[in-house]
Amino acid sequence: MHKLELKKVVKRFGEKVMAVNNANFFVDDGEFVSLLGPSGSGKTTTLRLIAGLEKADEGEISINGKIVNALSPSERDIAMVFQSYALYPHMSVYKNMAIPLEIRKVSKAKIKQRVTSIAEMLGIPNLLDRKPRELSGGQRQRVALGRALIREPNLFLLDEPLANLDAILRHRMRGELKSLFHHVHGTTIYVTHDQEEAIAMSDRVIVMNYGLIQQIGAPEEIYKRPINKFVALFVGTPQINIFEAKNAKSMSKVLSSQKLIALEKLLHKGKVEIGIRPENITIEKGPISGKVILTEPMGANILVSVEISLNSERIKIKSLVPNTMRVSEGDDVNLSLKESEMLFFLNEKRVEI
Amino acid sequence: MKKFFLYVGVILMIFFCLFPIYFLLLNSFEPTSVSYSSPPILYPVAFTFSNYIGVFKDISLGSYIVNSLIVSLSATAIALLIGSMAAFAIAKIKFKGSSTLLNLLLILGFFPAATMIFPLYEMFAKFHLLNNYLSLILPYTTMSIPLTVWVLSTYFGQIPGELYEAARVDGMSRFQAFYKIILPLGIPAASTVAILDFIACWNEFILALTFMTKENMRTITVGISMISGRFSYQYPWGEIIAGALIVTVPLVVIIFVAQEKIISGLTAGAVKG
Amino acid sequence: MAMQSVNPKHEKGYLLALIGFVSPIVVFFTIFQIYPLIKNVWFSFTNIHNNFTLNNFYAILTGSSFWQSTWITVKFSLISVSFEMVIGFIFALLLNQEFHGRKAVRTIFLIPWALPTAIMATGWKFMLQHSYGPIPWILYWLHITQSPPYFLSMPKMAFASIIMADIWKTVPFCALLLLAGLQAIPRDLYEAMEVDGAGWFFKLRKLTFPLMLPAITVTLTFRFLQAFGVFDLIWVLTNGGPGNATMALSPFIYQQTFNWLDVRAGAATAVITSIYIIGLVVVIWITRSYVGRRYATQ
Ligand SMILES: Nc1ncnc2c1ncn2[C@@H]1O[C@H](COP(=O)(O)OP(=O)(O)O)[C@@H](O)[C@H]1O
Ligand SMILES: [Mg+2]
Repeated sequence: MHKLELKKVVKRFGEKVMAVNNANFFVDDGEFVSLLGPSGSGKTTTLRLIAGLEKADEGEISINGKIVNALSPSERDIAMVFQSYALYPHMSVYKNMAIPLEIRKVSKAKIKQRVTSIAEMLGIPNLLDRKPRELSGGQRQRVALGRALIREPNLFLLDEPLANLDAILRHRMRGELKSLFHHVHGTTIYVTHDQEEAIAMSDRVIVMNYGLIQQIGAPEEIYKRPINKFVALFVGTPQINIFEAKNAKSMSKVLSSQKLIALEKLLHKGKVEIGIRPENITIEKGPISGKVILTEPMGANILVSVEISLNSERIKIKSLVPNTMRVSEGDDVNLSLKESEMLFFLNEKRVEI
Repeated sequence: MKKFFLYVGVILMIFFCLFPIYFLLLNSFEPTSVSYSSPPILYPVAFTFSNYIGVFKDISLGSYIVNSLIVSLSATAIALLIGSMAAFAIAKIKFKGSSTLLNLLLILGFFPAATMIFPLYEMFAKFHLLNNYLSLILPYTTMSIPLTVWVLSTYFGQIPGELYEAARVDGMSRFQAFYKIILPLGIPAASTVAILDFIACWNEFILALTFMTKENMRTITVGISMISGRFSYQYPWGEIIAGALIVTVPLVVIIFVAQEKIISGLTAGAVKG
Repeated sequence: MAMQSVNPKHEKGYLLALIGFVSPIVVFFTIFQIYPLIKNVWFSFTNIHNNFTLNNFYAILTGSSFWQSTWITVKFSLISVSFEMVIGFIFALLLNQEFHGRKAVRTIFLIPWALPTAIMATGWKFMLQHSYGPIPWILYWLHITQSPPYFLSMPKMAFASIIMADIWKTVPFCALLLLAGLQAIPRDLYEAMEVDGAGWFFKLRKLTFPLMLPAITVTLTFRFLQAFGVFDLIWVLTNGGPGNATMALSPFIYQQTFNWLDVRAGAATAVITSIYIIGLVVVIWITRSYVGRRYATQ
């Protein structure tokens, strides 16, 4: 039995907007699953459907094997961290965290003990008397987390909890969040538009676009075997190189003869594109000559943009090389593309060849 | 179930607001014999325009309306003009004591007119301004200023300071910056305030009752409420009500046209605290 | 607090500009608001020969009419404003729900507010007439009273009449102000509480009510000060009667001044009324800064 399961769930807003289009997925006990997608792709709506803050137009949502479509949010035993944090502005941090227990009529002494221990865990025991407006963004976020962690719900739902933090804090919180929710053995659904975050934190990632689930899989699977061009482009920084293979001849320098034959067959079925991530391209020696047009130092690596011509067509390809390498704009280089890491897309869908 | 109670509540609310209006409307179209029947009849039985014709014939309703229009429109215009200047100074020039000034205006606005009516009466009598439009226009302007300045200064305060500063840097004088940059931007708020001011002046009673002693100078509120005083034995209720409803029509029109503005103006304070 | 000035003071023409922009309203206020108040103080402390005297105050404070008026005013303000706040709050909660025609109801709510008080009081006078007014008869038909009550000719009922009419006129106004306060509460706070398991009463008690306190105090302040100066309604509906049963302070001042032509008694009453208002403002100011500190959300 899955902790949470969605079957053919549909949510429309008005006639035109299909916010969630036939969502099917499950989450198992103790899993940390990310809902990843660009803004407007239906992540928040999915989360709100699970919480019961929106009613599904079609489909079934079940928690612990029980269909919960008709249950109100308060009956689903779920904890949610809102993107805005939704801290009660007139209550102290202590009160904010105590509310879920107060609702459940837990005794004052128990509440005190629980709030104190959660505050310790989150490193905010000194803030308990403050009002939300007296807190920094990071502190607010911890309070919102604390309010969720205070009880042991069926599910934790987190809606972009790191989106409002500055870059350094965001990075630091990633690891902290992951270990926090593992520590409490919580089943967690984590919404984010930041693919690095999803890849770094999750047991599994659900990629969404336009209300449609694109792919569900472990982070490395999403990264290495994206199901389509959208996922390939969306996941991974620096972004994957994708160029069209118009005919086999133009690819002769890029592909082995074996692959060329396969490509030839594929070309009859539609538009074929080849994708390769920048770290799988070297620029020291190889069959393809080109000119460096831009270098972008990225700390340990340098992202090098090279213009090459494949059968009279000029294309731009990015390669990620160690910063020990000396390369500057205008240099002539020779590229080699690691064939084993290449991805092939037929009409935007990935195919094995 | 919840929906059921909600709609019962909504119907009660509508009944609460509209029953008096309904009953008055009903009786304004009934002949006197029906209006005076005891017990009252709560549904239409006859239909006549005689009350509406009568009210124009028996009293100078037309001139009351003109009087009300003249004083209300003038006072609103002046209050807007000088109020927007002061609001601009408070919001954008920012001087010491600007918030004290604003608070003082608001507090003075709460003093009932009765507490200052005699000195005003004496003053207008001395300058022969009783039964003159000015005797209402001037105090009505004053009465409208607190709300005007308050709403407009809040609104001007939200216009980015850079706009005004840029205008100054570009070489405009303060006054040019005010009427070329800030004032045009303030038009939505100004129209809201204008509506609220106009309604307040149109509805004013005690000053109009006191300073306009000649029958033909009365404003509409005094005029209508005085009909009842004239006939002490038989109140011409049908005509009074017809008159009251005629006066209400422009207000209802304003409400329907500008309800969003009115509500935003009314509630500007409640939300901000 | 230090004023952040957009224009430094030493800049040329600062003072001139300031005077130019602000002086018109100051002139209006001085002549038509401050001067009359001061003049009244002068009247109240002098006799007809312009000599100083305390007799005006002495006469008022030792008579019973003034105290009766004070009591009537306080009672009227307290009772009508309490009813209006409670009913207004309920109406606001209803209006905050989603239902068909919600916007139309909001528009309807503006009608009682926009009606001139004097004119709506005229209408109420008709509706409260014993033999042909609908209100006494509806009360009778619903068996709330044993016969259609005489509203305007019995002291207690006359008082109830002005309260009723005031409630009708002002409840929608209060409801709209409170509704604005309700709508300013972020939705996600309610959602957060729902997810955490709260029922409607818990949300009302722990969220709506405390977060509404600023809007409630503003509405309350405004209404109370307004009710304290009530004139039009009483003058038209009951003329202060029967007897002096509904003679609040404003009509009392008016009666002293223009009916009895006792200008100095009227001035003394006006001065004390002004003191009441100042006292109220101070009390409200203190309460509001307390509420502001306690429940400030910004
Ligand atoms: N309450 C609503 N009413 C109408 N449309 C909505 C509403 N909430 C979301 N949408 C629409 O549904 C789509 C998905 O929104 P959302 O779930 O918030 O996306 P995400 O969280 O992935 O950015 C968007 O096109 C959005 O405009
Ligand atoms: Mg979202």
